[in-house]
Amino acid sequence: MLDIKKRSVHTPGMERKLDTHTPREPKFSDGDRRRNRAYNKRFIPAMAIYVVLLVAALQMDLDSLATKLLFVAVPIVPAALTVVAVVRKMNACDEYQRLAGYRAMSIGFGAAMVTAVIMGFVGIAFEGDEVARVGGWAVFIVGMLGWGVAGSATSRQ
Amino acid sequence: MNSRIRELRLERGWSQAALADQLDVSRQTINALEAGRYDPSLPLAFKIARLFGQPLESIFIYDDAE
Repeated sequence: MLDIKKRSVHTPGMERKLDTHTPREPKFSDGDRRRNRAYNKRFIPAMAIYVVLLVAALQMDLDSLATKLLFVAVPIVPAALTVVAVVRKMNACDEYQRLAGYRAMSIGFGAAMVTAVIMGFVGIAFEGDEVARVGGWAVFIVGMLGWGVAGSATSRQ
Repeated sequence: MNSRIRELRLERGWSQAALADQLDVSRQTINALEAGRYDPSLPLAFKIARLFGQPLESIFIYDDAE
């Protein structure tokens, strides 16, 4: 028979101190910090490259097909680097974090898909209007917000 | 599924972060395991059992009502 009510030997208040992150007991374990550092090492340069390319792209004159194609290609490299950073982070995660991460991503993906459908209808209804031009950005913003909010809700637990 | 991870950890005076490092998982994962929000995979469950030096069934308690 299992004795699941067995009492442990510890001083009152000890659980709270050992459960949570106090000034002496950090929120992250050594492994957490190592994984976060590795992720930041890949993600921050990708974002820096993106900002530099974006600023450069905004100075371009989109007066020829070549410059237009170049402008469209600007986000591809930093986006690919960001995807690599996220995939490698997911691979380095433990089983619970990976599950929570994929769950947060799926919420972001669902939100982006719903927004894409809505913006598709907006594009038909307001064809030629300014509002129809924001479709892609709206999908991106809502998708990232969904992912971010779901991810931070999980990590607060 | 209920577990005695928190009790066993406290008996040894380990913090969640210290246990996480010994199991090579995140502190968040230990928190989820102790709160019963997450049931570990078999390899992780065996790792936990081996670390505490106890059989699986004395650490993880499955309630049929679940």
